[in-house]
Amino acid sequence: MEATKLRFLSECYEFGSFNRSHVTMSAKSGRAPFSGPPKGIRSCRFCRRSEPGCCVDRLSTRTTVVDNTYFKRRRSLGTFQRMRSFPLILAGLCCCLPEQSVAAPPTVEQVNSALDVAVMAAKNGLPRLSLEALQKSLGNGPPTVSTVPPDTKIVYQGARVNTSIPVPKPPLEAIRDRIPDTIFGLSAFWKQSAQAEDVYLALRDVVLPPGRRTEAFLYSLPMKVSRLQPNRMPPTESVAQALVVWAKQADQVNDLHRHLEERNLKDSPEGILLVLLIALEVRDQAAIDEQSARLLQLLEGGTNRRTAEMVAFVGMNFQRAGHFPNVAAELLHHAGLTIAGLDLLEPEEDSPARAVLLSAARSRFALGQRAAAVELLKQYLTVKVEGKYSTSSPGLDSQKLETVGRELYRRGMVGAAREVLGQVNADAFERRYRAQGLLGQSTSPSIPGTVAPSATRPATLWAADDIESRPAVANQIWFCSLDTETHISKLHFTLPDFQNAASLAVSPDGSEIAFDATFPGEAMTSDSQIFIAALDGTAIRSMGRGTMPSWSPEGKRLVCSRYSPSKGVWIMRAAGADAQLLDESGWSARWSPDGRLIVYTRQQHGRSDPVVYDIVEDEFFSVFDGERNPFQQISGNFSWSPDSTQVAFKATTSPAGTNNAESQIATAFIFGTARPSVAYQQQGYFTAAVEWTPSGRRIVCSPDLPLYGTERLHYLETHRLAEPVYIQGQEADRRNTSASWLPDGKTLVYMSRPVRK
Amino acid sequence: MNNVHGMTDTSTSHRVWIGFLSLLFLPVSGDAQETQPTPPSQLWMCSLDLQTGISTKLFEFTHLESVGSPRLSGDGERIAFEATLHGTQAASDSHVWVCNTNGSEMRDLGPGAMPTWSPRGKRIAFCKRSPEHGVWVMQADGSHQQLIDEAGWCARWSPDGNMIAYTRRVNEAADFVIFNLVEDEFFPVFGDGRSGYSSFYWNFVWSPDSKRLCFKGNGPDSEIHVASVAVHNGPDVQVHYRGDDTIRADLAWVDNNIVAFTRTTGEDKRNQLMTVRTGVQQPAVGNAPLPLAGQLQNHANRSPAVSRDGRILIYISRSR
Repeated sequence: MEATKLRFLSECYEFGSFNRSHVTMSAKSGRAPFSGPPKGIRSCRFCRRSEPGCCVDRLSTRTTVVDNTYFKRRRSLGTFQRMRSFPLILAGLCCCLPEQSVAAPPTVEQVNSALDVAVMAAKNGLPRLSLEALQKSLGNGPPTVSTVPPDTKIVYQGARVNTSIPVPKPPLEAIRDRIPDTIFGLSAFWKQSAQAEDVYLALRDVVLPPGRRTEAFLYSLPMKVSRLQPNRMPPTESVAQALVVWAKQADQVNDLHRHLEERNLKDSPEGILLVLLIALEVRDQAAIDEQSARLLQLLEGGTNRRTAEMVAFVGMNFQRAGHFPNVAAELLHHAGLTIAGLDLLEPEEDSPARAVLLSAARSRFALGQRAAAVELLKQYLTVKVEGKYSTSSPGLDSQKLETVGRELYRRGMVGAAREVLGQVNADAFERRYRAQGLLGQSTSPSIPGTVAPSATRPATLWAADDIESRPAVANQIWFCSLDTETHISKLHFTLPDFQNAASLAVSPDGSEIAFDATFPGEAMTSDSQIFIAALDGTAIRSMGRGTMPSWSPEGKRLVCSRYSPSKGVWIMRAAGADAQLLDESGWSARWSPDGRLIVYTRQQHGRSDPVVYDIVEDEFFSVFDGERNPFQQISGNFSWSPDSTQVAFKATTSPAGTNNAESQIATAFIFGTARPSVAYQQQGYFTAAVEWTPSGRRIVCSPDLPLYGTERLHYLETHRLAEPVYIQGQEADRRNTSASWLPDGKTLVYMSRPVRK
Repeated sequence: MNNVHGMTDTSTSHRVWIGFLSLLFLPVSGDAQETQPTPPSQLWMCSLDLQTGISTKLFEFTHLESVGSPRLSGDGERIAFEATLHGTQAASDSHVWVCNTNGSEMRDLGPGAMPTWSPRGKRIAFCKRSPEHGVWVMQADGSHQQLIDEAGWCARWSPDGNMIAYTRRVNEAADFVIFNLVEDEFFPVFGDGRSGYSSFYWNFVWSPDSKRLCFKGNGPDSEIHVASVAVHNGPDVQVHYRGDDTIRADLAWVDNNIVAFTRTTGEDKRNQLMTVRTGVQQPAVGNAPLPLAGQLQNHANRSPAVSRDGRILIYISRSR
């Protein structure tokens, strides 16, 4: 079949922008499928003229007008077997792509079609076709025009606007992400089946388009940080980097150099970045020094976000390569300042500014350039973060202060920390970290008037066998156990030294209890320590500062929340060693019964969000995704269901600080999209600790009901809102909270305290 | 004239002509065949439905060789395996590859061998040869590689996801080491040189309940064993089959009672998938290996691996 005929058929069939134009064709036998006068407006798809005798007559001898809808309805092409001729169709499609001689850049739709062709060709084992599609479509640079109307669609669902579905990106923005995405996706295929030189030539024409002889296009993916890890540099790639790698593989680095020089791109950031990438690949120190200096000059003169992100990306490459730390530090430094400056003018969601500035500061510290590092940390504090609900929040500011304070104090830069954080924040930081020696060797004298809590005060406990009479210890904190079948409560030991204690957790083997506690005069949470006591009251030891401990399934490790040496969720060995920071922005963690998951809260945009860390898969995910979180604040002290699929927690729907807010006990599935269920709700405050029963049918909590005048242990139904059921046998006339089950599944260990006066 | 069968002489001549003509349409042999080149053997990834016993070809390896150690991801959508690029890499320079079960989106994750998936397919444990020898874990896209044990080899992720087992010499003896990801601790299965085996081969396999490891080992007197050992509560070794070096190291736990392995059989030394029962303590008459039903016939089949739900067994097959 003639290529010409194929060209028409392919165009009608595949490109599918079936406007009212008509296309003529030559039927195989000379007879058209049906004939008749043209319908609607007729315009030629090649020259777009609407008059007879244009391209059509030149390309076919016997012409008959047909309606495009014929091809819409009839997918088959008569005797033209689709499968056998598929490669021919693809070849014809490539003929329809913009020729390189056409000066105008392609439209978004044309490039989208070309990318579809490239992917199809790859799937059908046609590497050359795949490369040619890219080469031809982007030979005049990236698309700048879209034929789709610029208004983005609003998605309706029924009668309401569905705001949970993200509004589609504008076509120009979408294609700029799709181009590098497609190329990276095809790289694996090309590695297998294409010649390195062919790939290099195609990518060279993409990055250095023949139709745009004075420009270069790097096609980098946007740098988006993870919301859960805003200080971690995100991975990113660029087609320019892929070009350099392929050039090296095809031994065409000199050719690439020559093309770059021909374009005279010395003064453009793209050209300089490209030369830098080549220099890094071949380890050319002189070129690296020269180009990086020129790039920094350009940055100082002002540039756009994408270029600044690309500079940051190149800086990270240098940092990871480890060969040129000075260059890495310089690039990250200036890129971070540029992105932060752009954020001030136009904040962007998920901006990498914090991650880049922090990486730059650490690079400077590593080189001993402390002054520069401090300046970067100051900039870090001023970074404007765009969020869904607000551009800043108290939680966000405190996160930034903690990050900066940690960087300075752990290097012993107390003076710089005071200057950067300010007096008040520095005092609070020092109060929290002095006991742990975080302040380093160059600690400045403490400011008069501050109180330094002792971390070495000994803790004692009184075993039940040593207690002569209960009234004598009535004012102490009791650790009791209640047999829920016989309703008999037993006192195990008391804590004579502590002012407060909470977050009781029985070890998996039932021999020990972990809890947090404070001595008189200490602040709850920030000064609390984690203790582990033997259930029989024979021993107690401190694990150091921390709160809300939770055991791993075999009792070898604990997860807890700490303010020092750095605020966040920590995992450590049960003996206290090998402490690892899991999430600097997390709090109040609980280990799942199957051991695979750790749930904790994270403050985001003024709301508490439960986050889960999957230890096996090493990934974090949010339990509620944006719109599905109905709660403003979620208290800590989660409890897992026995099958590790749900968590129970106390929450409020009112903002923090609201007086007499209604509190709820709710349950939520970790996976899936089901909304949380409410098991209980009460006006006013009550203890947050909840504990799922081993059967999975009920939850133990401690509501403050008027009947008892204080918090007492009750059962709640998990599957419906019902009145709490009092647990018989617990200590009377005392405030009983914070329960945890022994391995026998029927004995509840709890704390009993005197009633608040 | 009619013969005893009631057929005339003319029918006989018809039969002769029919027979002569049919010879013309028989597959030619001899000189005619010499003009047609023997097609090269093809290397396929196949799947066997263990319920229906039907094998299907998933895809063909066209540019890869030295393919081995296939493993299905937990959702059954992807396969990880080791291979080298045809003509460009030595067999010892194997890379870890992943692809969809239809062979699409094949991706090279870098140097490595014997990949094994985490339960949800987000990470892969594998091993590397020198200079970065050891057991490693990486994200499923090949990033964030972490060294687990530089002296370890051949990692296997447990079905429950909490443990990674690998081989290593402990106290100068072959042993399995279990890395518990939840508790972040390592412990040897045997310890103190008590395994009794001079070596454990690669591609051992976990039982579906994550309680036992089935392996090929060099036992006393250089006898080859297919055996299993309990991971916890003391090494409880059960030998399921005693054989020779025709047994290859690739094992798969088909269900609670059956283990599949590759064995070289016949005069043509063809690999076949064999099964043996694990419920018996001592191999005896009645526990001889049997060919796995449903594998492709007249093919060289090896490297079995079973899906998490136990319904599909994938293997590598080379056509004859």
